[in-house]
Amino acid sequence: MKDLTNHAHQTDIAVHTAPAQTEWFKTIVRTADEGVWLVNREGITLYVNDAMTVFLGYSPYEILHQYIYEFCAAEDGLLLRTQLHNTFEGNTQKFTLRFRKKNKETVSLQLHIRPFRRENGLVTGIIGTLNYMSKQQINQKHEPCPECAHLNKQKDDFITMASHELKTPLTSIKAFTQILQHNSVGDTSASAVYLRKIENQTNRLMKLINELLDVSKIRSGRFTIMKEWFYLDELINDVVSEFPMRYPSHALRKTGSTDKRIFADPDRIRQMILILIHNAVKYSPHKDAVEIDLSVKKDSVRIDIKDYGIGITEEDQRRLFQPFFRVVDTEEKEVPGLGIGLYLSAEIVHAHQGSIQVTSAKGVGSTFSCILPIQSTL
Amino acid sequence: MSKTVVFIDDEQDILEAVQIILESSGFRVVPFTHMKSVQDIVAAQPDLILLDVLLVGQSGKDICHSIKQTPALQSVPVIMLSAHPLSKLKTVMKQAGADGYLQKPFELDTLVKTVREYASAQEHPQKTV
Repeated sequence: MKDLTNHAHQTDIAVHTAPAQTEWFKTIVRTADEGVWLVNREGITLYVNDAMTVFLGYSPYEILHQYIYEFCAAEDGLLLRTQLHNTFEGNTQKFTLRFRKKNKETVSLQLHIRPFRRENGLVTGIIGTLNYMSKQQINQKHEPCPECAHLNKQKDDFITMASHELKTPLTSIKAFTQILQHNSVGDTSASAVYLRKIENQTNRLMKLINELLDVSKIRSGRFTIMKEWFYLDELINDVVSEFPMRYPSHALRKTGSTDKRIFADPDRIRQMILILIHNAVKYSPHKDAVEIDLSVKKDSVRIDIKDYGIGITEEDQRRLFQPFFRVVDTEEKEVPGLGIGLYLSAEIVHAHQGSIQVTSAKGVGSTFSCILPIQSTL
Repeated sequence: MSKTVVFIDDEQDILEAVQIILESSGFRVVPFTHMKSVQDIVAAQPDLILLDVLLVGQSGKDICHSIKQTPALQSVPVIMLSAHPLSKLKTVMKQAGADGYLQKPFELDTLVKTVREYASAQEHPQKTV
Protein backbone atom coordinates (compact mmCIF):
# COMPACT_ATOMS: atom_id res chain seq x y z
CA MET A 1 0.00 0.00 0.00
CA LYS A 2 1.24 3.46 -0.91
CA ASP A 3 1.99 5.76 2.02
CA LEU A 4 0.13 9.00 1.45
CA THR A 5 1.23 10.67 4.64
CA ASN A 6 4.13 12.44 3.04
CA HIS A 7 2.05 13.46 0.02
CA ALA A 8 -0.64 14.91 2.28
CA HIS A 9 2.01 16.80 4.17
CA GLN A 10 3.44 18.27 0.95
CA THR A 11 -0.01 19.30 -0.23
CA ASP A 12 -0.64 20.94 3.08
CA ILE A 13 2.54 22.94 2.68
CA ALA A 14 1.65 23.94 -0.86
CA VAL A 15 -1.80 25.15 0.13
CA HIS A 16 -0.34 27.36 2.78
CA THR A 17 2.41 28.93 0.69
CA ALA A 18 0.04 31.34 -0.99
CA PRO A 19 2.33 33.56 -3.11
CA ALA A 20 4.18 30.60 -4.61
CA GLN A 21 0.91 28.74 -5.07
CA THR A 22 -0.60 31.63 -7.01
CA GLU A 23 2.37 31.70 -9.38
CA TRP A 24 2.23 27.91 -9.84
CA PHE A 25 -1.44 27.99 -10.61
CA LYS A 26 -1.00 30.87 -13.04
CA THR A 27 1.74 28.97 -14.86
CA ILE A 28 -0.28 25.75 -14.91
CA VAL A 29 -3.33 27.49 -16.37
CA ARG A 30 -1.31 29.59 -18.81
CA THR A 31 0.63 26.66 -20.22
CA ALA A 32 -2.13 24.03 -20.14
CA ASP A 33 -2.84 22.12 -23.36
CA GLU A 34 -6.53 22.88 -22.93
CA GLY A 35 -7.78 26.36 -23.74
CA VAL A 36 -9.06 28.39 -20.80
CA TRP A 37 -11.43 31.30 -21.32
CA LEU A 38 -12.92 33.47 -18.57
CA VAL A 39 -15.76 35.89 -19.31
CA ASN A 40 -17.86 38.18 -17.15
CA ARG A 41 -21.67 38.25 -17.02
CA GLU A 42 -21.85 40.24 -20.27
CA GLY A 43 -19.66 37.76 -22.12
CA ILE A 44 -16.63 40.08 -22.17
CA THR A 45 -13.29 38.27 -22.04
CA LEU A 46 -11.35 38.66 -18.79
CA TYR A 47 -8.70 36.01 -19.41
CA VAL A 48 -7.48 33.56 -22.05
CA ASN A 49 -4.50 31.27 -21.76
CA ASP A 50 -1.81 30.52 -24.35
CA ALA A 51 -3.63 27.51 -25.81
CA MET A 52 -6.61 29.70 -26.73
CA THR A 53 -4.41 32.05 -28.72
CA VAL A 54 -2.95 29.04 -30.54
CA PHE A 55 -6.44 27.64 -31.29
CA LEU A 56 -7.70 30.91 -32.76
CA GLY A 57 -4.54 32.59 -34.04
CA TYR A 58 -5.15 35.85 -32.16
CA SER A 59 -2.82 37.42 -29.62
CA PRO A 60 -4.19 37.64 -26.04
CA TYR A 61 -4.56 41.41 -26.49
CA GLU A 62 -6.85 40.89 -29.48
CA ILE A 63 -9.15 38.68 -27.42
CA LEU A 64 -9.06 40.42 -24.02
CA HIS A 65 -11.98 42.78 -23.31
CA GLN A 66 -13.79 41.55 -26.45
CA TYR A 67 -17.11 39.71 -26.45
CA ILE A 68 -16.65 35.96 -26.76
CA TYR A 69 -19.49 36.00 -29.34
CA GLU A 70 -17.25 37.87 -31.76
CA PHE A 71 -15.03 34.83 -32.09
CA CYS A 72 -17.64 32.17 -32.62
CA ALA A 73 -19.19 31.38 -36.00
CA ALA A 74 -22.28 33.56 -36.56
CA GLU A 75 -24.54 30.53 -36.89
CA ASP A 76 -23.49 29.32 -33.42
CA GLY A 77 -23.97 32.70 -31.71
CA LEU A 78 -27.42 31.87 -30.41
CA LEU A 79 -26.27 28.51 -29.06
CA LEU A 80 -23.41 30.16 -27.17
CA ARG A 81 -25.69 32.86 -25.79
CA THR A 82 -28.19 30.25 -24.57
CA GLN A 83 -25.50 28.08 -22.99
CA LEU A 84 -23.90 31.05 -21.19
CA HIS A 85 -27.30 32.06 -19.88
CA ASN A 86 -27.94 28.54 -18.57
CA THR A 87 -24.53 28.52 -16.93
CA PHE A 88 -25.26 31.73 -15.05
CA GLU A 89 -28.25 29.90 -13.63
CA GLY A 90 -25.72 27.56 -12.03
CA ASN A 91 -25.58 24.73 -14.57
CA THR A 92 -22.49 23.21 -16.11
CA GLN A 93 -22.60 22.82 -19.88
CA LYS A 94 -20.64 20.68 -22.30
CA PHE A 95 -21.09 21.29 -26.00
CA THR A 96 -19.32 21.87 -29.30
CA LEU A 97 -19.00 25.25 -30.92
CA ARG A 98 -17.53 26.53 -34.16
CA PHE A 99 -15.09 29.42 -33.80
CA ARG A 100 -13.76 31.77 -36.46
CA LYS A 101 -9.96 31.89 -36.49
CA LYS A 102 -8.04 35.03 -37.36
CA ASN A 103 -7.24 33.57 -40.78
CA LYS A 104 -11.05 33.20 -41.30
CA GLU A 105 -10.95 29.42 -41.08
CA THR A 106 -13.52 27.75 -38.86
CA VAL A 107 -12.47 25.44 -36.03
CA SER A 108 -14.74 23.19 -33.97
CA LEU A 109 -13.91 23.21 -30.26
CA GLN A 110 -15.41 21.26 -27.39
CA LEU A 111 -16.38 23.55 -24.53
CA HIS A 112 -16.93 22.70 -20.92
CA ILE A 113 -18.26 25.77 -19.16
CA ARG A 114 -19.16 26.30 -15.54
CA PRO A 115 -20.06 29.24 -13.29
CA PHE A 116 -17.12 31.21 -11.90
CA ARG A 117 -17.95 31.97 -8.27
CA ARG A 118 -16.41 34.37 -5.79
CA GLU A 119 -15.70 33.17 -2.27
CA ASN A 120 -19.13 34.44 -1.22
CA GLY A 121 -20.70 32.08 -3.79
CA LEU A 122 -21.78 34.86 -6.13
CA VAL A 123 -21.50 33.95 -9.81
CA THR A 124 -19.50 36.75 -11.41
CA GLY A 125 -18.47 35.08 -14.62
CA ILE A 126 -18.07 31.88 -16.55
CA ILE A 127 -14.96 29.82 -16.98
CA GLY A 128 -14.63 27.53 -19.93
CA THR A 129 -12.11 24.92 -20.92
CA LEU A 130 -11.80 24.28 -24.61
CA ASN A 131 -10.30 21.48 -26.63
CA TYR A 132 -9.85 20.56 -30.27
CA MET A 133 -12.18 17.88 -31.51
CA SER A 134 -10.62 14.81 -33.02
CA LYS A 135 -11.55 13.98 -36.62
CA GLN A 136 -13.61 11.09 -35.33
CA GLN A 137 -15.51 13.37 -32.96
CA ILE A 138 -16.12 15.90 -35.75
CA ASN A 139 -17.43 13.16 -38.03
CA GLN A 140 -19.68 11.87 -35.27
CA LYS A 141 -20.95 15.37 -34.64
CA HIS A 142 -21.67 15.96 -38.31
CA GLU A 143 -23.53 12.71 -38.57
CA PRO A 144 -26.75 13.41 -36.74
CA CYS A 145 -28.76 10.51 -35.45
CA PRO A 146 -31.26 9.24 -38.05
CA GLU A 147 -34.18 10.48 -35.97
CA CYS A 148 -32.66 14.00 -35.63
CA ALA A 149 -31.93 14.13 -39.36
CA HIS A 150 -35.50 13.12 -40.11
CA LEU A 151 -36.92 15.73 -37.72
CA ASN A 152 -34.63 18.43 -39.12
CA LYS A 153 -35.70 17.61 -42.65
CA GLN A 154 -39.35 17.68 -41.59
CA LYS A 155 -38.81 21.08 -39.96
CA ASP A 156 -37.03 22.49 -43.04
CA ASP A 157 -39.70 21.11 -45.38
CA PHE A 158 -42.40 22.59 -43.18
CA ILE A 159 -40.80 26.05 -43.12
CA THR A 160 -40.30 25.99 -46.89
CA MET A 161 -43.87 24.89 -47.51
CA ALA A 162 -45.31 27.29 -44.92
CA SER A 163 -43.50 30.25 -46.46
CA HIS A 164 -44.72 29.20 -49.92
CA GLU A 165 -48.29 28.87 -48.65
CA LEU A 166 -48.09 32.31 -46.98
CA LYS A 167 -46.81 33.91 -50.17
CA THR A 168 -49.60 32.53 -52.36
CA PRO A 169 -52.44 34.58 -50.82
CA LEU A 170 -50.06 37.55 -50.65
CA THR A 171 -49.63 37.29 -54.42
CA SER A 172 -53.39 37.69 -54.89
CA ILE A 173 -53.63 40.54 -52.37
CA LYS A 174 -50.74 42.38 -54.00
CA ALA A 175 -52.01 41.82 -57.55
CA PHE A 176 -55.56 43.05 -56.83
CA THR A 177 -54.23 45.99 -54.81
CA GLN A 178 -52.09 47.00 -57.77
CA ILE A 179 -55.04 46.63 -60.14
CA LEU A 180 -57.07 48.99 -57.94
CA GLN A 181 -54.15 51.40 -57.72
CA HIS A 182 -53.73 51.28 -61.49
CA ASN A 183 -57.41 52.14 -61.90
CA SER A 184 -57.17 55.03 -59.46
CA VAL A 185 -54.18 56.86 -60.92
CA GLY A 186 -54.52 60.54 -60.07
CA ASP A 187 -56.99 59.76 -57.30
CA THR A 188 -56.11 61.72 -54.17
CA SER A 189 -58.91 60.35 -52.03
CA ALA A 190 -58.42 58.41 -48.81
CA SER A 191 -59.04 55.16 -50.73
CA ALA A 192 -55.88 55.70 -52.80
CA VAL A 193 -53.89 56.32 -49.61
CA TYR A 194 -55.30 53.17 -48.02
CA LEU A 195 -54.40 51.14 -51.09
CA ARG A 196 -50.80 52.34 -50.85
CA LYS A 197 -50.77 51.37 -47.19
CA ILE A 198 -52.09 47.88 -48.03
CA GLU A 199 -49.35 47.44 -50.61
CA ASN A 200 -46.62 48.67 -48.25
CA GLN A 201 -47.74 46.30 -45.52
CA THR A 202 -47.96 43.43 -48.01
CA ASN A 203 -44.38 44.11 -49.06
CA ARG A 204 -43.33 44.25 -45.42
CA LEU A 205 -44.94 40.90 -44.70
CA MET A 206 -43.21 39.42 -47.76
CA LYS A 207 -39.86 40.69 -46.54
CA LEU A 208 -40.39 39.13 -43.11
CA ILE A 209 -41.36 35.77 -44.61
CA ASN A 210 -38.30 35.78 -46.87
CA GLU A 211 -35.98 36.71 -44.03
CA LEU A 212 -37.33 34.01 -41.73
CA LEU A 213 -36.92 31.50 -44.53
CA ASP A 214 -33.32 32.63 -45.05
CA VAL A 215 -32.53 32.34 -41.34
CA SER A 216 -33.96 28.84 -41.34
CA LYS A 217 -31.71 27.99 -44.28
CA ILE A 218 -28.62 29.41 -42.60
CA ARG A 219 -29.25 27.47 -39.43
CA SER A 220 -29.82 24.23 -41.28
CA GLY A 221 -26.74 24.76 -43.47
CA ARG A 222 -28.80 25.06 -46.66
CA PHE A 223 -28.03 28.70 -47.37
CA THR A 224 -26.63 28.82 -50.88
CA ILE A 225 -25.42 31.48 -53.26
CA MET A 226 -25.41 31.34 -57.06
CA LYS A 227 -22.54 33.32 -58.49
CA GLU A 228 -22.30 34.98 -61.85
CA TRP A 229 -20.36 37.90 -63.32
CA PHE A 230 -22.17 41.22 -63.18
CA TYR A 231 -21.44 44.95 -62.98
CA LEU A 232 -21.81 46.08 -59.38
CA ASP A 233 -22.43 49.70 -60.44
CA GLU A 234 -25.44 48.64 -62.54
CA LEU A 235 -26.96 46.81 -59.59
CA ILE A 236 -26.37 49.81 -57.31
CA ASN A 237 -27.84 52.19 -59.91
CA ASP A 238 -30.98 50.03 -60.00
CA VAL A 239 -31.27 50.22 -56.22
CA VAL A 240 -30.71 53.99 -56.29
CA SER A 241 -33.38 54.48 -58.98
CA GLU A 242 -35.93 52.46 -56.97
CA PHE A 243 -35.14 54.30 -53.74
CA PRO A 244 -37.49 57.32 -54.06
CA MET A 245 -40.48 55.02 -54.57
CA ARG A 246 -39.55 52.85 -51.57
CA TYR A 247 -38.52 55.64 -49.22
CA PRO A 248 -40.07 59.00 -50.11
CA SER A 249 -38.95 60.39 -46.73
CA HIS A 250 -35.24 60.23 -47.56
CA ALA A 251 -32.89 61.01 -50.44
CA LEU A 252 -30.19 58.52 -51.41
CA ARG A 253 -26.97 60.12 -52.64
CA LYS A 254 -24.52 57.94 -54.56
CA THR A 255 -20.84 58.75 -54.83
CA GLY A 256 -17.89 56.88 -56.34
CA SER A 257 -17.94 53.93 -58.73
CA THR A 258 -16.15 50.65 -59.26
CA ASP A 259 -16.61 50.06 -63.00
CA LYS A 260 -15.93 46.42 -62.11
CA ARG A 261 -17.65 43.17 -62.86
CA ILE A 262 -17.67 41.01 -59.77
CA PHE A 263 -18.26 37.26 -59.45
CA ALA A 264 -21.02 37.04 -56.87
CA ASP A 265 -24.69 36.28 -56.38
CA PRO A 266 -26.43 39.44 -57.67
CA ASP A 267 -29.72 38.65 -55.91
CA ARG A 268 -28.04 38.14 -52.54
CA ILE A 269 -25.80 41.21 -52.93
CA ARG A 270 -28.87 43.24 -53.82
CA GLN A 271 -30.68 41.80 -50.78
CA MET A 272 -27.75 42.72 -48.54
CA ILE A 273 -27.62 46.30 -49.88
CA LEU A 274 -31.39 46.71 -49.52
CA ILE A 275 -31.20 45.54 -45.89
CA LEU A 276 -28.46 48.08 -45.11
CA ILE A 277 -30.32 50.89 -46.88
CA HIS A 278 -33.57 49.91 -45.18
CA ASN A 279 -31.84 50.04 -41.78
CA ALA A 280 -30.20 53.37 -42.62
CA VAL A 281 -33.63 54.87 -43.28
CA LYS A 282 -35.30 53.10 -40.36
CA TYR A 283 -32.75 54.26 -37.81
CA SER A 284 -32.62 57.88 -39.01
CA PRO A 285 -36.27 58.90 -38.63
CA HIS A 286 -35.46 62.57 -38.05
CA LYS A 287 -33.03 62.92 -40.98
CA ASP A 288 -33.67 62.89 -44.70
CA ALA A 289 -30.49 61.62 -46.34
CA VAL A 290 -28.66 58.35 -46.80
CA GLU A 291 -25.40 57.97 -48.73
CA ILE A 292 -23.88 55.11 -50.65
CA ASP A 293 -20.28 55.17 -51.79
CA LEU A 294 -18.49 52.71 -54.06
CA SER A 295 -14.75 52.23 -54.35
CA VAL A 296 -12.16 49.71 -55.50
CA LYS A 297 -9.17 48.51 -53.56
CA LYS A 298 -6.80 45.99 -55.16
CA ASP A 299 -8.85 42.84 -55.76
CA SER A 300 -11.95 43.92 -53.93
CA VAL A 301 -14.80 46.39 -54.07
CA ARG A 302 -16.08 48.38 -51.15
CA ILE A 303 -19.61 49.57 -50.50
CA ASP A 304 -20.20 52.14 -47.75
CA ILE A 305 -23.73 52.95 -46.65
CA LYS A 306 -23.95 55.93 -44.36
CA ASP A 307 -26.76 57.46 -42.34
CA TYR A 308 -27.01 60.36 -39.91
CA GLY A 309 -29.38 58.60 -37.55
CA ILE A 310 -29.48 57.52 -33.94
CA GLY A 311 -26.11 55.73 -34.09
CA ILE A 312 -25.02 52.61 -32.25
CA THR A 313 -23.13 52.34 -28.97
CA GLU A 314 -19.78 50.53 -28.95
CA GLU A 315 -21.29 47.77 -26.88
CA ASP A 316 -24.13 47.23 -29.35
CA GLN A 317 -21.76 47.34 -32.32
CA ARG A 318 -20.08 44.18 -31.04
CA ARG A 319 -23.33 42.25 -31.05
CA LEU A 320 -24.88 43.85 -34.11
CA PHE A 321 -24.44 40.93 -36.49
CA GLN A 322 -25.78 38.32 -34.12
CA PRO A 323 -29.20 36.86 -34.91
CA PHE A 324 -32.21 38.51 -33.26
CA PHE A 325 -30.12 41.33 -31.74
CA ARG A 326 -31.96 44.65 -31.69
CA VAL A 327 -30.64 48.17 -31.20
CA VAL A 328 -32.85 50.31 -28.97
CA ASP A 329 -32.74 54.04 -29.68
CA THR A 330 -31.77 56.68 -27.13
CA GLU A 331 -35.35 57.30 -26.12
CA GLU A 332 -35.80 53.53 -25.67
CA LYS A 333 -38.35 53.54 -28.44
CA GLU A 334 -39.23 50.25 -30.00
CA VAL A 335 -38.06 50.10 -33.61
CA PRO A 336 -39.98 47.41 -35.51
CA GLY A 337 -38.10 44.36 -36.78
CA LEU A 338 -36.93 40.90 -35.86
CA GLY A 339 -33.20 41.50 -35.58
CA ILE A 340 -32.49 39.35 -38.62
CA GLY A 341 -31.39 41.81 -41.30
CA LEU A 342 -27.81 42.46 -40.24
CA TYR A 343 -27.29 38.79 -39.40
CA LEU A 344 -28.41 37.92 -42.92
CA SER A 345 -26.23 40.66 -44.42
CA ALA A 346 -23.19 39.33 -42.58
CA GLU A 347 -23.95 35.78 -43.72
CA ILE A 348 -24.28 36.93 -47.33
CA VAL A 349 -20.98 38.81 -47.14
CA HIS A 350 -19.20 35.91 -45.44
CA ALA A 351 -20.58 33.48 -48.03
CA HIS A 352 -18.74 35.63 -50.59
CA GLN A 353 -15.56 35.57 -48.51
CA GLY A 354 -15.98 39.26 -47.84
CA SER A 355 -16.19 41.29 -44.68
CA ILE A 356 -18.63 43.72 -43.14
CA GLN A 357 -18.03 46.26 -40.42
CA VAL A 358 -19.65 49.24 -38.82
CA THR A 359 -18.35 52.57 -37.60
CA SER A 360 -20.83 54.51 -35.58
CA ALA A 361 -21.29 57.07 -32.86
CA LYS A 362 -24.39 57.55 -30.77
CA GLY A 363 -26.43 60.47 -32.07
CA VAL A 364 -24.16 61.03 -35.05
CA GLY A 365 -24.94 58.14 -37.38
CA SER A 366 -23.53 54.90 -38.74
CA THR A 367 -21.56 53.70 -41.73
CA PHE A 368 -21.74 50.05 -42.76
CA SER A 369 -18.84 49.00 -44.96
CA CYS A 370 -18.86 45.80 -47.03
CA ILE A 371 -15.78 44.56 -48.76
CA LEU A 372 -16.34 41.93 -51.45
CA PRO A 373 -13.65 40.18 -53.44
CA ILE A 374 -13.97 40.80 -57.16
CA GLN A 375 -13.56 37.07 -57.74
CA SER A 376 -13.91 34.85 -54.72
CA THR A 377 -12.93 31.23 -55.03
CA LEU A 378 -15.89 29.52 -53.36
CA MET B 1 -53.14 41.74 -83.55
CA SER B 2 -52.87 41.09 -79.85
CA LYS B 3 -50.47 38.45 -78.56
CA THR B 4 -51.88 35.41 -76.81
CA VAL B 5 -50.68 34.37 -73.39
CA VAL B 6 -51.55 30.99 -71.93
CA PHE B 7 -51.47 31.17 -68.12
CA ILE B 8 -51.55 27.96 -66.06
CA ASP B 9 -52.05 28.40 -62.31
CA ASP B 10 -54.26 26.50 -59.88
CA GLU B 11 -54.97 29.63 -57.82
CA GLN B 12 -58.19 31.04 -59.26
CA ASP B 13 -57.63 34.52 -57.76
CA ILE B 14 -54.13 34.82 -59.19
CA LEU B 15 -55.39 33.60 -62.52
CA GLU B 16 -58.09 36.26 -62.50
CA ALA B 17 -55.77 39.08 -61.39
CA VAL B 18 -53.16 38.29 -64.04
CA GLN B 19 -55.87 38.03 -66.68
CA ILE B 20 -57.17 41.51 -65.76
CA ILE B 21 -53.65 42.99 -65.75
CA LEU B 22 -52.56 41.49 -69.06
CA GLU B 23 -55.84 42.09 -70.89
CA SER B 24 -55.78 45.74 -69.85
CA SER B 25 -52.30 45.86 -71.39
CA GLY B 26 -53.58 44.54 -74.72
CA PHE B 27 -52.91 40.80 -74.45
CA ARG B 28 -55.33 37.97 -75.02
CA VAL B 29 -55.19 35.60 -72.05
CA VAL B 30 -56.21 31.93 -72.06
CA PRO B 31 -56.30 30.72 -68.45
CA PHE B 32 -56.01 27.12 -67.24
CA THR B 33 -56.21 25.92 -63.64
CA HIS B 34 -54.58 22.65 -64.69
CA MET B 35 -53.44 20.97 -67.86
CA LYS B 36 -55.54 18.11 -69.15
CA SER B 37 -53.62 17.75 -72.38
CA VAL B 38 -50.84 19.65 -74.07
CA GLN B 39 -53.17 19.83 -77.08
CA ASP B 40 -55.33 22.30 -75.12
CA ILE B 41 -52.35 24.64 -75.13
CA VAL B 42 -51.62 24.01 -78.81
CA ALA B 43 -55.23 24.91 -79.60
CA ALA B 44 -54.83 28.27 -77.88
CA GLN B 45 -51.94 29.14 -80.27
CA PRO B 46 -49.96 31.00 -77.63
CA ASP B 47 -47.13 33.47 -78.15
CA LEU B 48 -46.06 32.95 -74.56
CA ILE B 49 -46.81 30.52 -71.72
CA LEU B 50 -46.83 31.52 -68.06
CA LEU B 51 -46.61 28.39 -65.94
CA ASP B 52 -46.86 27.99 -62.17
CA VAL B 53 -44.26 25.62 -60.69
CA LEU B 54 -46.52 23.97 -58.11
CA LEU B 55 -49.94 22.87 -59.34
CA VAL B 56 -52.31 20.60 -57.47
CA GLY B 57 -51.47 17.07 -58.54
CA GLN B 58 -49.19 18.27 -61.32
CA SER B 59 -45.64 19.46 -61.64
CA GLY B 60 -44.97 22.63 -63.61
CA LYS B 61 -41.59 21.16 -64.46
CA ASP B 62 -43.21 18.10 -66.11
CA ILE B 63 -45.67 20.31 -67.97
CA CYS B 64 -42.79 22.42 -69.25
CA HIS B 65 -41.01 19.30 -70.50
CA SER B 66 -44.21 18.24 -72.34
CA ILE B 67 -44.51 21.69 -73.90
CA LYS B 68 -40.90 21.72 -75.04
CA GLN B 69 -41.31 18.25 -76.59
CA THR B 70 -44.37 19.31 -78.58
CA PRO B 71 -43.27 20.51 -82.04
CA ALA B 72 -46.03 23.12 -82.32
CA LEU B 73 -44.94 24.71 -79.01
CA GLN B 74 -41.17 24.27 -79.10
CA SER B 75 -40.49 27.87 -80.08
CA VAL B 76 -42.98 29.33 -77.63
CA PRO B 77 -41.21 30.82 -74.61
CA VAL B 78 -42.20 29.47 -71.21
CA ILE B 79 -41.89 31.57 -68.06
CA MET B 80 -42.04 29.73 -64.75
CA LEU B 81 -43.83 31.45 -61.87
CA SER B 82 -43.46 30.58 -58.23
CA ALA B 83 -43.27 31.88 -54.69
CA HIS B 84 -40.10 29.80 -54.27
CA PRO B 85 -36.93 31.63 -53.25
CA LEU B 86 -35.05 32.98 -56.29
CA SER B 87 -32.22 30.46 -56.09
CA LYS B 88 -34.66 27.55 -56.14
CA LEU B 89 -36.77 29.14 -58.87
CA LYS B 90 -33.70 29.59 -61.09
CA THR B 91 -32.75 25.96 -60.57
CA VAL B 92 -36.29 24.76 -61.38
CA MET B 93 -36.34 26.94 -64.49
CA LYS B 94 -33.10 25.41 -65.75
CA GLN B 95 -34.18 21.85 -64.95
CA ALA B 96 -37.52 22.38 -66.69
CA GLY B 97 -35.90 23.85 -69.80
CA ALA B 98 -37.98 27.04 -69.40
CA ASP B 99 -36.96 30.38 -70.88
CA GLY B 100 -37.47 32.67 -67.91
CA TYR B 101 -38.88 33.04 -64.45
CA LEU B 102 -40.96 35.44 -62.43
CA GLN B 103 -41.10 35.37 -58.67
CA LYS B 104 -44.41 35.72 -56.84
CA PRO B 105 -45.63 38.10 -55.67
CA PHE B 106 -44.72 40.24 -58.67
CA GLU B 107 -45.00 43.92 -59.38
CA LEU B 108 -47.65 44.69 -61.97
CA ASP B 109 -45.13 46.62 -64.10
CA THR B 110 -42.61 43.78 -63.96
CA LEU B 111 -45.22 41.25 -65.08
CA VAL B 112 -46.32 43.36 -68.06
CA LYS B 113 -42.76 44.24 -69.04
CA THR B 114 -41.64 40.61 -68.90
CA VAL B 115 -44.62 39.33 -70.87
CA ARG B 116 -44.15 42.05 -73.48
CA GLU B 117 -40.45 41.26 -73.90
CA TYR B 118 -40.88 37.52 -74.27
CA ALA B 119 -44.07 37.58 -76.31
CA SER B 120 -42.68 39.98 -78.87
CA ALA B 121 -39.19 38.55 -79.20
CA GLN B 122 -38.42 36.77 -82.47
CA GLU B 123 -35.79 34.71 -80.74
CA HIS B 124 -36.07 33.92 -77.11
CA PRO B 125 -32.77 34.14 -75.26
CA GLN B 126 -32.81 33.14 -71.60
CA LYS B 127 -33.66 36.14 -69.50
CA THR B 128 -34.10 36.71 -65.83
CA VAL B 129 -36.45 38.99 -63.99
